[in-house]
Order: sequence, then C-alpha cells, then structure tokens
Amino acid sequence: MTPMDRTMRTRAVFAGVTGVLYIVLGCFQMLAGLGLRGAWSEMLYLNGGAMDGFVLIIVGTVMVQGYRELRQGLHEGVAFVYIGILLALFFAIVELSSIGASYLGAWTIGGDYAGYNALDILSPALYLSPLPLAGLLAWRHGFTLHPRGAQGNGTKDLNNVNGGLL
Amino acid sequence: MPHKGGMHWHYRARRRERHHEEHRLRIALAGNPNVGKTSLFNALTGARQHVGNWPGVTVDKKVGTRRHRGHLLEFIDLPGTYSLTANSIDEIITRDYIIEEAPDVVIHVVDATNMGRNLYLTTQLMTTGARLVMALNMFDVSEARGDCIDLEKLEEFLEIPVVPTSASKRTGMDRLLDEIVEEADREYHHHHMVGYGDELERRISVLVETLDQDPGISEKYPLRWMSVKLLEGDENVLERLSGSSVEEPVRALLTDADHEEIEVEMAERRYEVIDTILGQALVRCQLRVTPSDYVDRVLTHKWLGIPIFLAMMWGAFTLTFTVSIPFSAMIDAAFAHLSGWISENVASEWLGSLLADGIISGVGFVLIFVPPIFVLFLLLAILEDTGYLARAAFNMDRIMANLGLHGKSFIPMLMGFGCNVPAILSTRSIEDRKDRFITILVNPFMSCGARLPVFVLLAGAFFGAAAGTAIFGIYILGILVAILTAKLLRSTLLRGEPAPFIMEMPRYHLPSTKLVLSHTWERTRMYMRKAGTVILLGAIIVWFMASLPWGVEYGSEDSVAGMIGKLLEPLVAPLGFDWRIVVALLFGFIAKELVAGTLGVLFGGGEGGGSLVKGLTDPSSGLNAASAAGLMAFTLLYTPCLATVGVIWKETGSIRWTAFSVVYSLVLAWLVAFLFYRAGLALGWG
Repeated sequence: MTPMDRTMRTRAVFAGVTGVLYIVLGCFQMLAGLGLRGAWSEMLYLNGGAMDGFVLIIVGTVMVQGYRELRQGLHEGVAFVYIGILLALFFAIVELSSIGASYLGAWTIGGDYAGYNALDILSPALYLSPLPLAGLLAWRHGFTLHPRGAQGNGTKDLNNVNGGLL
Repeated sequence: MPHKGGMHWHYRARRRERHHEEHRLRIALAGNPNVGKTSLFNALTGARQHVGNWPGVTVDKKVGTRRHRGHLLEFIDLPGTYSLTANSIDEIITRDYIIEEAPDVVIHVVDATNMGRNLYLTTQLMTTGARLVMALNMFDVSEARGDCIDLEKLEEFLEIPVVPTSASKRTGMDRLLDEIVEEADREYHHHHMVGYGDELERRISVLVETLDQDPGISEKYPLRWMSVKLLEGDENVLERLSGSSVEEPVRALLTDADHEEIEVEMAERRYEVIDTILGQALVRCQLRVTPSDYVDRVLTHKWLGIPIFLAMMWGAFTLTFTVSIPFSAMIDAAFAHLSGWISENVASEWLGSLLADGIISGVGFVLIFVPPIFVLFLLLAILEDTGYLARAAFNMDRIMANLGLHGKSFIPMLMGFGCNVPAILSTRSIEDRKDRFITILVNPFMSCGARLPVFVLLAGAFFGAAAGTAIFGIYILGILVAILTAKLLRSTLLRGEPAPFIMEMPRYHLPSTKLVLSHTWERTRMYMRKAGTVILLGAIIVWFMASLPWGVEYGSEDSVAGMIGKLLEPLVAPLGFDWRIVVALLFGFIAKELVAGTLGVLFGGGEGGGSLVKGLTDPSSGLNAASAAGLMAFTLLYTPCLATVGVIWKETGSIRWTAFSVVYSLVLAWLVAFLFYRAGLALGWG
C-alpha cells in the first residue's frame, strides 16, 4: 500500500466514523427536540431543538458521502470530507458564540442571564467538534486534488485566423 | 486611413478633438459580470470615488479619479454585461455610454480563466470603434491553474493592448495605466473586427453607405456597429433613426432581412473567431480541478445542496439571534434608564411623556435592533462575498424550474432579505415580462431587514431557546409563500414557460474584510437613518394618537389610537390580536420598522419606561406564543410598505397589479396568521 493509499484510507475511516457519529447523535437530538426526552437525552446533553438535530444529520451525511467516494477510490470524495469538517466547525462556532454571548449577557446585564450555565445549552455540535477540528489540523495542507492529466487545446495550426478577422 | 468598415472618421474625430482640449481622460470599465471589474476599479481609484445613479434609472454609477503621467484619469465603472444587445437595462447603459459618451479609452476587463465566454463581448466592443485596452484579470489564477496565454499573439490578433492583471493582488496596475495613456495619445488606431462573410458584409457596406448620408447619424454613431445592430433587428437602434432622412431607405434595406437568422449567424461567426484565436493564443498546459470545482461538488450536490443551504441559513439566524441579544438588551436597558430619568426630571408632564413614552420608546425600540440587523447583514455579506449565495440561487433554481419559474428570480428574492425596493428594481435584468412580473409580485414575501426587529422581539419574548429557529422558520415561510405564489401566478394570471436561465458561478474566495464591513455598514446605516427620520416622525404621531384627546390615560382605549384600533379590532380578533397590534400594523404600512416602534410606544411605555418584552409578555397584553407566531407570520406577509408599493407600481406600470399585490398579501397574511394562531392553540401555546 502506497503512502497515498494509506492517507486516503485514513481519511475514509475518519469520514465514516465521524459521519456516523453525527448522524446518530443528530437523530437523537431531533427526537429530543420533538419532545421525546428522557434520561438518555440528559446524559447526551441533547439540549437543542429539532433543527439542531437536522444540521447534525446534514453534516454526518456529507461526511458519509465522502467516505463512500473515498472507498470507491474516487479521490474527489475528499471534497465532501473537507466541507463536512468546515460545516461541523461552523455549527460548533454557532454554539460557542451562543455560549459566549450568554456569558456576556450574564456579566453585563444579568436579568434573564443570571445564573447562566453553559452546560444548559451544551449540545453534540459542540462536544463532537474536536473530531473535525483534529481532521482539519491534520490535513489542512492535504485537501488538494491532483491533476487529472494533461489536456491541450492549443497549438492547432489554424491558418484562417485572419480570414475571420477584418 | 481608417478601415472602410471600421470606426467612422467623424465619430473618431469628435473624440480626438475633445481629448486634445485637456489632459483629462475619461476611461470606462466594461466587462462580463463577476470578472473583478469593480475590484479593478477600486484598485485603480482607491478612495477617490463616488457613487451616483445612471440617468433615469437606479443602477449605481461609480466614478473615481486618479492622476497618471500628467493626465487626470476619470474612471467610470459600467454595469457588467455579456453582450451589447439591448436585452436588459445594464446592457443599454453600457452600450449607450460607450457609443454616445465616447469615452477616451474603454478598459475591457476579461476573466483570464474564462476567456472563451469573455471574448464574445470583446468582439462586440471592437465593432463600436472604442479605443480598447484589455485587462486580463485573474491572470495569476489562470497561471496557477496551468493555463499558458500567449499575450503577444492575443494582441496581434485583436490589435488591442493586453495587460495581465490581478485586481485582488493589485498587480499590473501601473502597466495598465501606462497603456491607457498611450492608447489615448496614439494618433492612429485600428483594431481588427469580426468578418461576417461575403453576403452579410455586402449588406453591412450598403447600410454604412446609406447611414453616412445623414451627418446627424454619422457623427454620432459608429456606422459599422449600427449596421450590424440593424441587421440583428435591434429595435432600440432602429428608434435612433427616427426622424432621420435615412430612416426610410434603411427600413427598405431591412425589409427582406431575417433578423433572427442573421443574429444567429453573426454570433456563430464571432464564436468561430474566438475559437480560432484561443486555439493559437491559449494553451491549457494542465487541466486542473480548481478548489472552487471541488467545493461545488458538495455545495451544489443534487441532493445535499438544498439541505446544506437550509442548515447554513439556520446557523446564520441562530447566530444572529444569540450573539446580538445581549447587546440589544444593553441598549434596551440604557433606553429604559434614559426614559425613566426623563419621566422623573422633566418638569412638564406632557413633554416628559412625549420624550419618554413617544420618542425614546419609539425610536429607542427601533435602535435596540441594530445589533441583530448588523449581525444578519454581516453574515449575508460574508456568504455573498465568498460566492456561496450564487450557489444558493443555483440550488433553488432546480426547485423553481420544476415549478415553472425563472431561475433569475431567486437573486432578487435573496436581495429582498435586505430591502424589497432595490430587489424589485433589480428585476429589470429579467427580459421576459411575465417572469419579471412574477418576480416583482413575490418579492415582498422575502423578509426585509425592517421586519427582523419584530421577529427578534416576538421570538425572544415567546420562544425562548428556540427563538433562532422560530426566526429561521419565518424566513423559510417567506421563501415558500413566494415560490407557491409564483407557481399560482404562473398557472393562472401569468401563464407561460419560463425563459432559459444561464448563471455564472463566481469563484469561491475568502471574503474581503473591508468589502464585507462596508456592505454591512451601508445597510445598517440605512436602517439607522430611518430611525432618525420616518420612525421619529411616526413615533411622535403615535404618541399624539395615544395621548389625544388630552386628559385620557396614555395609550388607553379612549385615545385616538385606541378608537381607531378598536374600530378595526374585530377584523383581527380571530388572530388573537388586540387594538394595539392593529395600530402597529397600520403604521407598518408606512414603514415596517414602525411596527416595532409602535409596539414600543404602546406596550413599552410604562411607568418609568418599562421593558417592551415585559410589556408584551404581561398577561394584560393579551399576547401568547400562538398569537405571537400569528403576528410574526402576519408581519412577514401583509401589505408591503409604502415605498415597496410605489416601486411595484412604477415597475409594473399597472395600478391593477399594484392593487393585486396589496390585497393578495393582506388576505394571505390574515389566512396564514389565523392558521398559525389556531395551530399554536392546538399545540398548547396559548
């Protein structure tokens, strides 16, 4: 197995595992968001709503699509892994900003924010984010596609150029 | 000697005379959309620019200046166009400027990574006789991609100076400026033009000779360009002959012309020439898949494209709400404090009430929403500047095409998130009348920035942690209603097939901080400016209405506002609204910001300047989550604001369509709000 194949395989495994985790937790989050809560939802910190679940499922599906393509030997599948990582980090930033803004509110104006605890809104989008972050840090220079081969459209000897131009 | 079929002598002489009079040179920038024309304009002019309007239209006209080698160069950024055919207002502006204003030099900005399509405009610009300098922009990207462009050959074939540039990196600017000055100073100039074959060339020659007989025409227009356009059946050009002595002979020469066939033949000849030139001047050493292609595989994926778009929008709205609310709460606290201080310290009771309950409550409650407006516009500007919004339009085009709608409609719809007025004006780029009318009529359903305060206020007050999702849901409702209304119109009043839609995808790039912040600030400033004008006036009027007749309790049912509201209350009672909501919605017809402002005056102005959220959630307000959801839907969908109604009237030219828009949206808003209210009650939100 060449180093190239090994990298592809590692990325495929990473995408598959991360994707499945996001999809599974996204489904749980969606159920919890629709009101089907229990001890399991508290244990998994499923504090968001159904839409939070929806976005986790989308991120997971993008990753799994990347896994499928990489497994089939399609190098372009790395695009799905890369975008999946960026989407996952975007939603983690949304969560993080929300926590930061709430602490800012608690610190400056109190009121509804008094006694605010970040664990109250902790969700899978945030605690799963170290995975995509690790992926991004590990492969940040490696998300490139290789040339698909040379193709020229030039050097055709067309003598009638000036016949077309006045 | 000038070429027989080329630029006409008188036309060129007129420009040269003016050029010798002074060292001021007028330089127009022309090019396809998304080729970096405006970036190049900014790189050339820096801060020395101002924005106005093209005469008679509200399309931006950017003008900037720069001194170079003893010349004062005045740059004019023309709208992006693919051709010089009078299909849209942008194309008419561009060609009228080049033909009638005859700038000293035209910089033709060409995307070096997409020369095949860009050179089509070159072939048309060459016919106008304008002195051209080609800025081969994004040359660095093309090189990085592996393309080899033979600049000398390109210059030789076109007889146009070609300068490789990168506007984003500001490279090639000095050479471009040198070429502009040299081109303007050059005594004699001739560049190649596309030949259209013996038969068409014969017809062109006859037309040129005929047109030349009227000096009023020959001194004003390049005759070869005019002849080509006449043969293509350009009505706009034919109108320019009206009253001329050559009008009848020209019409006679065109009687047997099959314009459609000629237009196709000419376009084919242009593309033949382009292919031949590129065959010799462009060599693609390696065809690489660019990072943009790479990202597009995912973001425009057949099945994942739309869910990703929805997820991104949800993220944007959640971020807007959560990040901005603490800042809004701080502004709210500051205004409540100010209001309380005024109530206590202003001796005159009525003046204290006017300042605290009227102006501070009304204007203040609008300014509270500056943070969410800023954050939302910032996020939209980032998405736009990265190139993602164009992909969103592409993704939505699939759905819209399935519903028989024109894909171009989605771009004005996205613009409607900012303000419906410029969004409706932008529909001028849609050629087909029915497509355009449909786009105009559905645009008000796209939630403009002025409605956001109402959503933020109500969602925050009644939906707690799900507020971001509630706002997202309202925006999605707007898109759905717009699409379904468009479908309804397409299958009833405006039947027909949508015109084909070709959309260019700009390359993805990191957003420019300066550009994003300037867009965001421009839109936020517009909102804030309204707070100081129309909202201030509205707040004062609402205060008077809530205070008169003198002696009644402020904001009570006995006030003028109360009486008007009470009169109309039965109409909205089934939606769970009381008379105060009626008054707020009535004022919202003037400007949507006034809905929040009026709610501020009528619900927020309590003793000591109480908080509006407390006022709304107080049991005495009569509002609950169900009626709040209904009110959000009603605010989204009901009659557009006065400015939007005015622009609908102007753009459709029809009082009937304008009335239709007003009545339809009002009825629809009532029905949807009723549905939301009842559904909310059924879900236990009461």
